[in-house]
Amino acid sequence: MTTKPHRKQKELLISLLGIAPVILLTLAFKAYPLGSVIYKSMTNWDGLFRQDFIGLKNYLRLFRSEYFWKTLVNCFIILINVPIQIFVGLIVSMLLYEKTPGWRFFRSLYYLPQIVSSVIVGYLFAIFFSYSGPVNQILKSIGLERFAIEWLGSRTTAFGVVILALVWINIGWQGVLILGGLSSIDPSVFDAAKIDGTNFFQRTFYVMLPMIGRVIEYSFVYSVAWTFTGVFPFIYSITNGGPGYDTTTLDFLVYQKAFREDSALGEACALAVLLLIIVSLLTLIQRKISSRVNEWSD
Amino acid sequence: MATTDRRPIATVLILLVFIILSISFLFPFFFMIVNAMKTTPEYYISTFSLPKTFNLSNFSTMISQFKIYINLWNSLVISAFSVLITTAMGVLAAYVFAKRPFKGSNVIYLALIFTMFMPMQVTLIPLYFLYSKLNLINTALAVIICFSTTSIPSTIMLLTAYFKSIPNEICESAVIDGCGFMGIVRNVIIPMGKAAIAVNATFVFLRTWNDFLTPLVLLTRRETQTVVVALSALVSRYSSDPPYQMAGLAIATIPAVIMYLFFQRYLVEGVNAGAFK
Repeated sequence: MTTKPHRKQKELLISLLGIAPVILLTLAFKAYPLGSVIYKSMTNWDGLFRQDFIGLKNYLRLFRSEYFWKTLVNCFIILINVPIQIFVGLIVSMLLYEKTPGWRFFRSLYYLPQIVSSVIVGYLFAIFFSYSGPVNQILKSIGLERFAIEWLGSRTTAFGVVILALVWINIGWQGVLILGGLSSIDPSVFDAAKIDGTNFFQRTFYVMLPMIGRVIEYSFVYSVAWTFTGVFPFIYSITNGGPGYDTTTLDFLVYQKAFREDSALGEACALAVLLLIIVSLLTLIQRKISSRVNEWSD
Repeated sequence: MATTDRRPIATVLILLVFIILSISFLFPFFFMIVNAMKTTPEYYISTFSLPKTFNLSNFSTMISQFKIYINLWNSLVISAFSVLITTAMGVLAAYVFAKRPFKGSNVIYLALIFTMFMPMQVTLIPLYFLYSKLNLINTALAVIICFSTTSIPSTIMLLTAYFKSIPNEICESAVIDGCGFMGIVRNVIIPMGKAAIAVNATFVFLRTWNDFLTPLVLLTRRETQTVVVALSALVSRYSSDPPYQMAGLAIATIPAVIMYLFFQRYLVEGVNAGAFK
């Protein structure tokens, strides 16, 4: 006969066994590399034999370098995609909310780019905007030759193409997500506002937007964090970071330093740590927001 | 904003916007498939017309010369095993977090969820050197481990939330019927959580099929690469031959689209509920 405390211990042991695989995997392949990258960011590691502790020298070198600040600025430029995709996504979700015939079909269709690999979408955009590609052919055929330029050859237009690709791939996600927020509003709210004599724009700005505020906040923070860590495949396929460092982003620079240039691994680790710090700060903000959301819904 | 008293003209206008948007989403795919069937001169002369003949030679070169089916197979193996491992481990852990919480389990749960926000770039450098020490570079196993570790937090988050909605009474009566831990998982949790498990598996499959950075770094030999990585190398090498590039892009896209056709309803509902990206 097992006594009660004995049984309790046994149950706890079984619970621990249940989560053990997940914990072991995470410790070995997330926690260990995380510790390793932080340590190595403070060494002059070259991937082979050299690995001396040099304190914060890698960080200081990065802060003094021109390309670090340039890539950081590039990330902030690409952030322009976030308000654009939210704005377009909001409009799409409002139209879907009208539930016209076929809205489910259109909803699924707009989500389609999300299930295609980012790098493939990037290559498609690169082909479209190449010098002899379809975009320039259209421009030439309607008599706008002077706008048929080397789109990916200069910083401004290359960013334009990257941002367009980011917006295009994410509109469907934004639309579906915001539609979820809209659907949770009680429709009678809108009817009441209508009876009060409000017009469409008043209802949009004073009734609808405040009520889906938390969804928009969520999607905003998520998209900002994604812009810092998820643009790599787009940069890789559309501009390859060039010309020079003109369109290189932080996540691309980590790859570049670690796997394309030799012997800059310590510096690459320092960059990776800085990237983690930025994303963690954003996540903290997001957690603040979601705890506020919990307060509201209580 | 209300669906009851919309004028017909408004419906027509909305549908018009929908159709224009649809064209902008479908045209790139249409363009890709159509031009994959052209020869290079034909592409440059008549980019926007339909191909003169139904010519699949670009696709057949992909298959016969580049043996792209090897890469498709690699992708399938990597994604399938990532889904299996993630699901198996995720179901067990989520059941514990949802139905058998203990002192401190909440902290473990939050720590696991935190790893969701860790960009792959952060851990990839040490992992690359760890794998090369273990002779795992250019093996599917290396990528499967990475994908499983990365997919676990979102899986646990979704499944824990879903399993919490399973009534405790059902678990308790299973205990009275003599079910142990695995018995409850098999007879209660899996049958009742089927829908969430399936949606999550689909998401993990698509995410791993499409992922680029991890396999790009860990798989350097063409015969070990996933289809997306192998094609990216091919596409950048054949920049003067757009039809050939398009054929490659189409081959990598079609399996994901087929998958989407089957599961789109669940995926879209999942995003609607705010669960995924």
